[in-house]
Amino acid sequence: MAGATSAATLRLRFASYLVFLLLVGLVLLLDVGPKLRPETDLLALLPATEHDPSVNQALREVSASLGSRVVFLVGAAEFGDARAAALRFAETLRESGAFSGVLAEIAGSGLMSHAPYAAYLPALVSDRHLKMLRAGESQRLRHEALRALYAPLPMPSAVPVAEDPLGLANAFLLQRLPSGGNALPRDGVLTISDHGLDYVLLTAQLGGGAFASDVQDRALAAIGAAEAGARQAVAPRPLRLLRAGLLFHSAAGTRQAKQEIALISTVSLAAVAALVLLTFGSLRPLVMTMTCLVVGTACGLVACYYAFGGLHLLTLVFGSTLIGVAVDYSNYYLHDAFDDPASWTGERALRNTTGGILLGLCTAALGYLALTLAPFPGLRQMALFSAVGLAGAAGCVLFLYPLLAPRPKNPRPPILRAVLALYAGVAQLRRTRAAGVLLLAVLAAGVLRLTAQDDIRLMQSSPPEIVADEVELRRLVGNTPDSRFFLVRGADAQGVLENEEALRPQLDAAVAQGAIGSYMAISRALPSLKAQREARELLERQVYGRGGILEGLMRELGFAPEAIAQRREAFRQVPAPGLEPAPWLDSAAATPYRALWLPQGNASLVMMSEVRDLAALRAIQVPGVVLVDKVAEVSELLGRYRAAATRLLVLAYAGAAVLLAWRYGAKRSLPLIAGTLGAAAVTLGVFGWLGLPVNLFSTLALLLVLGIGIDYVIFLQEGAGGGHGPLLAVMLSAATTLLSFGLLGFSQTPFLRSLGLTLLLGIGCAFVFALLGANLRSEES
Amino acid sequence: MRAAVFALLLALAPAPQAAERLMQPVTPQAVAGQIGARLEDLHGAQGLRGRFTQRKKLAGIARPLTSGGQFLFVRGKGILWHTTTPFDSEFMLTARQMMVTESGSVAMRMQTAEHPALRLVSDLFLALFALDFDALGRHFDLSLAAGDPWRIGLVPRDSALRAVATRIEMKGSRLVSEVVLEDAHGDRTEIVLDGVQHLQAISPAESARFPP
Repeated sequence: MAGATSAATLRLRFASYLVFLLLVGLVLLLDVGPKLRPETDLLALLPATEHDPSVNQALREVSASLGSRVVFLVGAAEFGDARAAALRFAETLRESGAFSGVLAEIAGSGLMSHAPYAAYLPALVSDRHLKMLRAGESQRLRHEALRALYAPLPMPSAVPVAEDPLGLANAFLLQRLPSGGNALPRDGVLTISDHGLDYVLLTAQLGGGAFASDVQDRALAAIGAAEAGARQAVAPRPLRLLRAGLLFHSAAGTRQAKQEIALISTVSLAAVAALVLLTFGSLRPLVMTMTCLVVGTACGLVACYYAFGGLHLLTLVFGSTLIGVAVDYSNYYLHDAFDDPASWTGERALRNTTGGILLGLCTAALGYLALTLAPFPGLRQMALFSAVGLAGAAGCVLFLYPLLAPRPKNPRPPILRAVLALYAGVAQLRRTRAAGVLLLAVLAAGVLRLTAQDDIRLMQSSPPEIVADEVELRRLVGNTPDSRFFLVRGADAQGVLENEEALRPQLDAAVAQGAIGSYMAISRALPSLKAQREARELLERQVYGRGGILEGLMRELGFAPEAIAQRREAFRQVPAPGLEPAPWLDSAAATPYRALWLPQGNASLVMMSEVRDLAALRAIQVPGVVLVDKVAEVSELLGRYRAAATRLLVLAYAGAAVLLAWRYGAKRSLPLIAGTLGAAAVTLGVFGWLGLPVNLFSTLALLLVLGIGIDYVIFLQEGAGGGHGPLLAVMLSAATTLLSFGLLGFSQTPFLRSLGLTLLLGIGCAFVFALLGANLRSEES
Repeated sequence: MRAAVFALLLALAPAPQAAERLMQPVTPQAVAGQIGARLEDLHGAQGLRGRFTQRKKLAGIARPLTSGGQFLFVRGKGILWHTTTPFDSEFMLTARQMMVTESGSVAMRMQTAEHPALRLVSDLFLALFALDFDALGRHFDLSLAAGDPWRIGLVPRDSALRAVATRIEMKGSRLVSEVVLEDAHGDRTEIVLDGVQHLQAISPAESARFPP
């Protein structure tokens, strides 16, 4: 490219880059390293669903509170064993300090504990009774009350008939009990019987976020100890333990990702090392290559840490494939020596390769940076990590290598022979051009069969045993909350309760129609002050007041006049303005509901179980209420971004075509452009024929295919007519790249797998097409 | 001679008074062991039919609330009470729901899945009518006076059930003849069953009265 660079300039660059690297190293060691706790929340990689900020804030609180819940079922053939083991289990968890709350015994949350309500009971009514009073149906209410008193079936009652002759207070107190699914209280714990086993239900709240790796470690250790203790408590009789919670998924994800990082980087590094050693037969190039990779990784880490305030574990998984790409520049530079070993100097290599490296870096970086256009925090991290990492590695090659570059010991290493043989083999393909073109056309025709799949649930996976445990637990417990829920907001706590009360009649209708199994809402247990005031006015007029039904009913039953006066007095004594949230929330009566009340106090959740008709729920329109369906929202977003990424892909390929045409002229660039496009078409075609659906991640991977594939084209074209250096460089680069992306194709995380597969196929094709498009000496001279 | 035979018979006869006073804590298995033989007809039957009379004594009211009518219990289905006095209404209970019908139309319906308290009550009554001691033993401490008639006392172990009754007593011989429930407020409900027949087969019409 440019003329010879003076030795002084080279030394200056070397020194400056060394200082830069020293700084990066210091920052990494002193600031980033100690604070870096890789994020493991998969959802953190996904875009925030597009709600207004207050909804997003509320949703974050929701997922934090629901996400830190862990549920266990401890089962044994004898109930006594299950109970003893469960209590022992709970005790161990409590002692561990890893959990902020462990609930085994249910005392205090039942019907009989109505402490916060006591003074307000004469003025509290159930939904059903409120509806009757609103409709002026007090005679019907009186008739029902009388019938209930004569009914052959006693209903549970917290208040004696003498204090609640109309059954209003008892109906309210019953309404506030959440439906417990299949679990029933027995000897102070919640229990479920199934297939000859008795299970005891335990719930625990993590002492921190389920995604923090230190919280995970402590909680899992505590659970392990608790399990051992529980089993010991009933030994030698067997115990069945089922568990469910985000904790187990995220911990498994962390473990999986760590294993994958270790595997991918070890295999890639080993392959790079082996190839470098085979080629150069000496240690110095190996050390240089490794330095280049370490520098790339360090730069990527530091950049991501400062840009995003943290790093996701999956970024590291994806980043570990960077090894295969970053080594390209190093290879390209080092292999220049094979062109004319006798007259080779580091300065000459620099002159020969600077253009290619910069062009390659630009296109790859453009490819990666295109990924950042999608508002996916995860992709942005991966893209920045890769782009900065590559730049750091390229810097190493351009600034450090010239003063270090070794001359190859053996100018014709055995590996060169293998590479040339492979190239000759590929070149043979040119002779069967017609058949080849036909084959490619057939493969590419698979594009017509392509399907898309954007369901987020299919893009993440958990180990089957965790999923099986959870499915079994959900079946046993019965009405476990659905992932879809209503978020209710209001100006203040009362506003939230009032909006909930506007929503509830519609949910009651949904239950009656079978659209949902049941629902749970705070306002069932804590009516808004407005509703309490309304109930009070209605009761005054139709029940307690002159001519109200209370007097007539009590007389008919045979109560003394003083008893009637007492009831009226109790009603008058109900404190204004009514039961307020604060004392209620502090009481045991609120225990089952506390998780539904968001800490800020201006939003609540309405959870549902057994959602059967989503459309009916979507049709519900109440001010301040939104139906949150995170899975559907994220899937829909993924689909939209896939469409956007596809348009971006078309643009990027067009840009690359223009670049190639500008650099190599219309005629020479035509086969190169065809090869580049062909690689993408064949990849998509193979997906189509195999019935593999494309998703956002495979589309974005094609952008990378372009970025990396074009490196090969450029390196081979820049070196055309020269020696074997570029060929050797491209071959070895492709080998390591395909190896690392190939490994990604075996990732346990489906979306990384889809990235890996696309890259494996796409880069494989791009590589072969680049070779076919190159015009190199195919035999040893 | 005649006197001697009479004395012998007298000696062999059980002393019902003494047995009634002695209620011993027992396990469900022991209850089944001691009086199970007398209940063979009941346990073999598909259901029961008979009349009931209920007297509720409530604190604060001198006169008990009395009601009565017919009942039908079908094993595996549910219980149907047809109250005829003081007013006509039909009360149906299954493991899944409770339904009140008045003059042919549904006056009230509750699903046990939505109302955990109702589920407790329905489990309890279905177990009482079937005399399923294992099921009862899960939630109650049992005691037994194994004479003829026998008496079984049930004391709930959980607060949830104590909201229904703090003590239940059943009396019977080859059948249950009386159930008494006492609750935490001092109220007392006595249900007397009479004219009870074992049903060996359930007619489709009777079966159809219990929705699935």
